[in-house]
Amino acid sequence: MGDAMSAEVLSKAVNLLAFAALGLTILLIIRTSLEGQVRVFALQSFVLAALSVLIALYSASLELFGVGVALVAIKGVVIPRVLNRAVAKIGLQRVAAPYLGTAPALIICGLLTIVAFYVMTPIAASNPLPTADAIPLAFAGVLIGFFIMVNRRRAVTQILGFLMLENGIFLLALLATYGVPFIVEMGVFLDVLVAVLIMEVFVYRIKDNFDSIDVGELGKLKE
Amino acid sequence: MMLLSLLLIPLAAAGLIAIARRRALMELLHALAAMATLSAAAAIAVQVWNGKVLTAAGDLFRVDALSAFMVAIITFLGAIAALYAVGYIRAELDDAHLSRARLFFTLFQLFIFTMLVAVTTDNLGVMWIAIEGTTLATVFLVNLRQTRTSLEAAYKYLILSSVGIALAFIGTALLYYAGAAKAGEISVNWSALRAAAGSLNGEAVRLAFVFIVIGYGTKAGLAPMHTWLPDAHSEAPAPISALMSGVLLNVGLYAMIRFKTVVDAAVGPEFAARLLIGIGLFSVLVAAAFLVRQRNYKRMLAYSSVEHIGIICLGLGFGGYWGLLGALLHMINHALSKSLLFILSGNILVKYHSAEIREVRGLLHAAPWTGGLFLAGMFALIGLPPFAPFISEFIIFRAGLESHPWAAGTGVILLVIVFGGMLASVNQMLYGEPPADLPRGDTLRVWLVPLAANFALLLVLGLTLPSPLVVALEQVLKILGV
Amino acid sequence: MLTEIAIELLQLLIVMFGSPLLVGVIRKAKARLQGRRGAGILQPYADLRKLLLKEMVISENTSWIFRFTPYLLATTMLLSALIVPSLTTRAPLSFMGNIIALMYLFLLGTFFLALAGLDAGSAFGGMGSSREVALAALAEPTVLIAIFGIALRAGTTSLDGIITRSIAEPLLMLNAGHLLAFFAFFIVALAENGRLPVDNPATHLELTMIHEAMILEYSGRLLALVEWAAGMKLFLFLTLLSNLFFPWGVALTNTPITLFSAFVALAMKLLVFAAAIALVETSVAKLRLFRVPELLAGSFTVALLAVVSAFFIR
Repeated sequence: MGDAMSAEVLSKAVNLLAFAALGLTILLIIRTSLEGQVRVFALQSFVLAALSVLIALYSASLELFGVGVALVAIKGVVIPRVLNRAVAKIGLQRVAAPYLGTAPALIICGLLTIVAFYVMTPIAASNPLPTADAIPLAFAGVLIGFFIMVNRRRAVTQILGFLMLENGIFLLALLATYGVPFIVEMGVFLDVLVAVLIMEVFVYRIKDNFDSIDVGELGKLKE
Repeated sequence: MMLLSLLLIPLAAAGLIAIARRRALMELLHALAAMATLSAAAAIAVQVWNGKVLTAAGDLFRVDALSAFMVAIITFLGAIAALYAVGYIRAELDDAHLSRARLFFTLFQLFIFTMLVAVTTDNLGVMWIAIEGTTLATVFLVNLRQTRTSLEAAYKYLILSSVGIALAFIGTALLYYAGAAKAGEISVNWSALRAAAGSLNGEAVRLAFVFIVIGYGTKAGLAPMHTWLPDAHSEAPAPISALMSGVLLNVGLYAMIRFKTVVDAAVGPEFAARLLIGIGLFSVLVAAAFLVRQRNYKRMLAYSSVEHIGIICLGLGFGGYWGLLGALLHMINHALSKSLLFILSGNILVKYHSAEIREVRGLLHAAPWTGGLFLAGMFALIGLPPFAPFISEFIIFRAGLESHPWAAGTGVILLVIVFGGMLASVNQMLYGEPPADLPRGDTLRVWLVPLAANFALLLVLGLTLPSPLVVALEQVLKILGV
Repeated sequence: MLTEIAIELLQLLIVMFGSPLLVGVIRKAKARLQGRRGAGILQPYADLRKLLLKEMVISENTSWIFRFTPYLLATTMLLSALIVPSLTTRAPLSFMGNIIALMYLFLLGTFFLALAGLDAGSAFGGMGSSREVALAALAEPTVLIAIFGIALRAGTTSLDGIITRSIAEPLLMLNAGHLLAFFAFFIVALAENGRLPVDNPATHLELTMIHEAMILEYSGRLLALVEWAAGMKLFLFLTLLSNLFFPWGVALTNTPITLFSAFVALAMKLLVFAAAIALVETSVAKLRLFRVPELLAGSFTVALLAVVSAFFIR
């Protein structure tokens, strides 16, 4: 099926979808409600699944189809359901303001994107695949996910930041080498799922112990 | 066959313990598994020592000298910690908390399993999965006591480790890309990558190694990614702290070392060397700065782990025959002494019910065996002869003074600072009058017996390097390219 | 020579007389979406004629700026109309059609309007001016960076050059940088023209008005000029959006056929944009003033991404 879609079109389509994924990561900074944030994450997982299917069509790879399906199943459905359950159980929370407000945070996202491009362009340049141009975008997603984890104070948002970081890494591997071998990909998904389940348990425990999910309260162990 | 059984024993034990009802059964399964794993490891080690390279499951698992080295460390210290854990859990968790004890033993075995998989697999991706698995297995162990501080420590540990390991995945993917872009052949095996190292894309390999150092360095406890370590290692129960400090950090280093062999073959040794020396020195510096101010003896030991991992990195960075030999020896010696000390700290905690240094006084009077071994362990840790760490540190810094005098010199000065700080704290704990209402005599004395092995090895390796060991280490050095 | 002047005049006339119609269409569309019948689309013409005939009441406390500003606004808009390629890229004065110069012309008008708002010394005027200037401070960098995004890809800041190069590119709509720049520019267009969700053009509530506050003191002929200039600014912004980002239909040569089809194309594109604006205004609530910087920061980031994309992604 590789000749049905030229490399040029694939490259442009991949760029568009990669920008959309990046945009969704930035959207996480803007949305303040926990349910909205979970929805944004689910949407991003769907975008990434669409990307894998697109690349699977181009490179005629059955593995990537499977990866796309697994992505939808685990990150698009199961994990958001787990998180929604946690959000529902936690109930209304006093909104803890993040360390940086929305407007400066958005500008920092732009700067992080520039940094990502600076770091990853040599790799993208030397990569012969048509999807390589969007590699810096994936890395920008990683950096912004990391920034979200550092900036936001609610435990659930930190988990979402981590998940977006993982999504960015998945995207990076997908764009650079059409993904890593199937078994590794599945293992990674499994790890992420278990990690999220464990994090969910911890969020409950934090809520029980500290009566809020503001991780700024977890500050007793200093030095 | 032997290889697969090595891995299956802890996994099966975990499964069986999870459905066990009675404490005695759990303890029995746990201890048996530990001893069985140790025997399997011994058999494997002997085979590898004789020159064989074991493989299993196609080329999924491959045990060469470096892997066998790590397997030996994991299973030996795992057995000692496992045996001590039986007594410790009996003292800490009574029958009302049986489910927690079950959780402990199950996760303990899973922990051992994931570590063994990480060091025996030939596949970068599977190694990554296994190392993330070690984080997931130990998180609930850190929070075993379910206090506020342990919850905080466990959460921080979970988040920071997961982020670090995620970054390591970028490095893995980049190295994978470097391997794939070359011949179109997708290979994620160490053996294949090592063989093709000369033709890999230099840019990608360098960038990959930076991510690996940051990512797996988080797991290994290098600064500035070490912030989870003092909390997690001090809040975890003593046998787990022993394993995390002594063994898990080494597994993180193992991952870095594996990548280093490929990177050195691809772009020459200077790049990795500079990076490792820089971060190793920084770790020693940070550890020294924080260690001297510690009031909690478990946190002090944790910072000391950061320091020693930094020293091992310095050895790896200094390179050459002596630098690498010293690093390998120090991996063993630090593991031995740190696990000894953490297990003893478990005893101290059970006896004095406090982890503060100033609350513990007169240890030598109140608990002679514990105190004596603690003193010996401390001497070993701060690098005094006749114990083994002295030898490995000496070798490392000797090698360093020749090639990187400034770095080595700074390291030595920092070691002296740590020396003074720890000695002062230890003296506070050992001498003086114990609290009047404290019962005399060692708690859990019988469970300290396995530590005799630790102590003996520390002494023996401090006095001489037995030739079988040297042969084994030289086999490892050949893999490292020396 | 004569044809050239005729073409310039044509573009000018379209802008001059088309802008009230555009405003009328938007208002009608909004009314329909809100379930009302609304005034006719020619209503703004009637309003302007009414205002021209009315007596002016000018405060004694104002200076020459107050009287000068409406004329300046109208003049800058007419000058811009000469530069912006609404129909064709080959108008004679289009060599001056540098997009940066265009933005400066717009900003000149905004600056003087802010001064005029202060001039009458009333509280509302000053409040409107300070809000307007705060928004402009945030919107201008975004505009410039979004412009850089498209200019970089086209390799020139001349409006004609950008359009000509864009028409030639086959996969234009799939280009991420292009879409990002469009999105950023659209948000800025809403901000600069005082449209929801930034500013409500139909309100006179103290809490919510920005542009209306500045022109509150104007009456009669001066008010007519100000309203007309605002309409022309909206028309020009939308023309820029249509022709820079969706350049199909713009005449590359000056023949009657191409000019006519350019006119039709422009009308259709403007209609679509008018409907889009009406839709946005009906469905989105006005943002709290404190949250407008967030919106503009978001569009700034989007513009930054557009530039990054233009730089690094071919």
